[in-house]
Amino acid sequence: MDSTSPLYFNGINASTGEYLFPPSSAEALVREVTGQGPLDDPEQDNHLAELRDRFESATTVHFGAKMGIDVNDLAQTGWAVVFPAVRPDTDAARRQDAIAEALMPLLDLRRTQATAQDERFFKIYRGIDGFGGRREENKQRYLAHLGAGPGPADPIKVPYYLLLVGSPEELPYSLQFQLDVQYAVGRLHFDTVEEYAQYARSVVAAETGGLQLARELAMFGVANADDPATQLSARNLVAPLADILTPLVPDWKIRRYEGAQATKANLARILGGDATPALVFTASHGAGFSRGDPLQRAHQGALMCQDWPGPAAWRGPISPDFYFAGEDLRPEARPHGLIMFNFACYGAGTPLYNDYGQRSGAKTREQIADAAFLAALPQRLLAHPGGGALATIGHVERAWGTSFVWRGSGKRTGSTAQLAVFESTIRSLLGGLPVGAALEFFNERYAELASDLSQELEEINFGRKFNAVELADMWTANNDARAYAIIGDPAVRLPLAPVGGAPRPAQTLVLRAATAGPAEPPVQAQAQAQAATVAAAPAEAKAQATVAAAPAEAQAPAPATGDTASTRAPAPGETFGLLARLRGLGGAGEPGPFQLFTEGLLHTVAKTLTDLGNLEVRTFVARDMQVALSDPRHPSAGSELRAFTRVSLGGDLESCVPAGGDGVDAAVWALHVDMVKQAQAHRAELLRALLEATTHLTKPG
Amino acid sequence: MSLEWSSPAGPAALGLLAGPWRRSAVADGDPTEVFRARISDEGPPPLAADPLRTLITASSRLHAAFQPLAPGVVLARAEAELLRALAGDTAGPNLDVGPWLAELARRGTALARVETAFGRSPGVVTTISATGDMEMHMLAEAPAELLMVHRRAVAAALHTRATLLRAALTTAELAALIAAVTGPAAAAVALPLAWRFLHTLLAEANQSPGD
Repeated sequence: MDSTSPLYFNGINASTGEYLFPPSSAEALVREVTGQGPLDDPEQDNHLAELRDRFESATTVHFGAKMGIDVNDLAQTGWAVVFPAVRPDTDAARRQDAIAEALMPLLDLRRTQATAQDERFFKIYRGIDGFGGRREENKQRYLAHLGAGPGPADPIKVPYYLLLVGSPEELPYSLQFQLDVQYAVGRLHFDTVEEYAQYARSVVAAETGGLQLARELAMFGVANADDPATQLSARNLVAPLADILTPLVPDWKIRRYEGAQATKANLARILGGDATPALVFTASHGAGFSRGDPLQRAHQGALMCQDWPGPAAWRGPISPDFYFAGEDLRPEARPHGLIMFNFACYGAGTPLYNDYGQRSGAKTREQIADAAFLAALPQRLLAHPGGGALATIGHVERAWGTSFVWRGSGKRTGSTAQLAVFESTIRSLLGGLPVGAALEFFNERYAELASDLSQELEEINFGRKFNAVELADMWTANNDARAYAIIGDPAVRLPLAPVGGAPRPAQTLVLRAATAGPAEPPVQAQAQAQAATVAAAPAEAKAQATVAAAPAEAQAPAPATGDTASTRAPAPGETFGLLARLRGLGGAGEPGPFQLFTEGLLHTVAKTLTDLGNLEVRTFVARDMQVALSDPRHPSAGSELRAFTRVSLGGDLESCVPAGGDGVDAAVWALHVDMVKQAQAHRAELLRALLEATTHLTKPG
Repeated sequence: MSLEWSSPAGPAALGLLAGPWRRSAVADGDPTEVFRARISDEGPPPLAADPLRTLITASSRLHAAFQPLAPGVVLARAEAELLRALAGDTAGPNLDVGPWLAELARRGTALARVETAFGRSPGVVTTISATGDMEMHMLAEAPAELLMVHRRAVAAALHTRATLLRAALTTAELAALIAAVTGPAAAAVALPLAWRFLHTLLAEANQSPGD
């Protein structure tokens, strides 16, 4: 292959039926690359330097977190959620409050897992700690604000697993890519608050409800006629990867859908249908649309299937029958627990600008969408009301063949396929590693390529002659490696049945009010969801909320409707699943010690959960404590309020101190701050104890 | 610093659960849990091992006890005692611990007051609600040492409350597991068996060096 040989990209413009990006020669690409080198951009320069540092310090055991940290254990890595900074008392702030509330079951679960050893390992970055709250904020400035500099993730400063919650307009893709170099980063963004709640429920149900998926991997490789790009990915990625994995993971059943089998109908069976595996890997074109096309938001990134006859046989706009989009996911699909990995252009999302044009030296960048957005298919998969997928891995922008073939590397082996990164990532996922940690192999590759590329460009800037083909490969590979992104919580992992064990769905519960009257639609929830929902409900409703276990046979992921448990008011002693069954074991008649204890305990738990709201700490200073404390009904009489702090359920912190005069005394303030910290830690412990007990007690025995 | 607590949780548990508190007189008719601290040359009583870790891992210990035993593996004392009792080799406990455990849970979330004395009068008083809201009253120009003692007293009080609640919840969880695994015959004694099991684990942790 020489410098005029074409490079192919995995994207089809569905508006026109043409290739989304025309094949380009290496020479043409190099002209664009060198037209404006990254070194002209100070911010990019910093990022490249960091990447080079990372690459040079990387070892085979280095996965982004600092030495000695087990990335499998959230108690060691920590976990945090990052929201965009929003102005208080705006619609955006109110919507963010609602989203945080919807995610509360997930946040509570992660809090429990991450703070098993150290309270500092769980963070909610909102309010003043949200991203974008400072002028011209970028990744480095943001991390510095949070207390971290470049280098391996130190969970005491900033946890390793970071979940971004916001659109790519609010939390740019560049932030995600750059954070991903040292942290394990995923993103959630949905159109509705209910979708956030649904995702949170799905993850909590998967992790605490006993979901166990069969050890099955689906390899879906499209090879359209007359289409070099998909034939290349089918021949050099999907097929050899399946061959490599088969002997390496003998406990797994690998189902291959290649060529004629890679149809839209089969993909529907894989994504929540009768052939749903634990992990799906696809390689295909991604459907792309021209800016302004009404289908762009809903269909861009959809997976082109074998149904497309290819560029020679098909002219004109691409029919939706040829690709699988978010709206093709049927309501009756059951993708719960699934993780999907797509090699396709825009499979994860679409940036605002053509990243390619940014490098071309043009004065303005080409805008390719009205706003940056996430692909609809991952969104629909994750928020599926029947139980969603846990995460997807996909590409933002275009996907390149250099991801898996490397020019000049086939002389000894006869194949230019380079699959170690894919193989390592997939094996990590199959082995149960959290998805964010599994993707570190791509981040290592990005660091390596970016380091090489920056070095090369530096030399070229000083006049060194360059090899156009090599440089083009480095450039494309660099872009490709950078743009893999996780949609979903980066700490999720495949919930697998034991080797030889049978798969089973998550056990679910029905939450409803105990009052008589018309039955409300039941809400499926896990224990954490129950607690959060109870805590968030209006006081009147909270006082009446109880949790009733659905019968075991009704505890499938399908929405429970009209079952007995959901239409009657449970008696006090049968509010929890396992405990309810134990009551039956005790026999009829007078309540025994166990039931008496259970009722007393549940009363305490329910009352405490009901009362949970904003956490408040007040500090008064008194000249005479006897006077100040003399009237228990008015304990503040004779005292002066000197500091007040309110911490919302979502973690927002609000403090008030007296204005004017001498202000607040340093010693008073120090003690007040310490009390706030203690109160927060105690609240977390209280919540954790209640939720863990609730979770365990509601699990089937 | 000396620490006193108005309402010890119970004779058997206090030594294992409560940490550095001495028992104080219970105020008649006052449902509030009162924790009192004062500056003193006298050191606090010996600190019991922090039971939280034991409480958090207790259910996994219990789960493991019901798993088939690998050849050569010997059960720890708590697990062995439990299995012997379930097998009828020893008399199971007949103590009715239910009301007492419920009281433990109530105390873990009751209204509490932490008082730090300045001479004969309270120097700093913090009230803590069931859900952890705090209201602190401090004497103007209270000495730094007093504030430090109060800070530590509040921390110890909160930890004690959390431990009490956790102990009650863990016992319920263990009892549920025992009854679910062993069936109707054990349901009646599941609660005392669970408490005995947990008590043994706590005693074991208290005797472990380095805790």
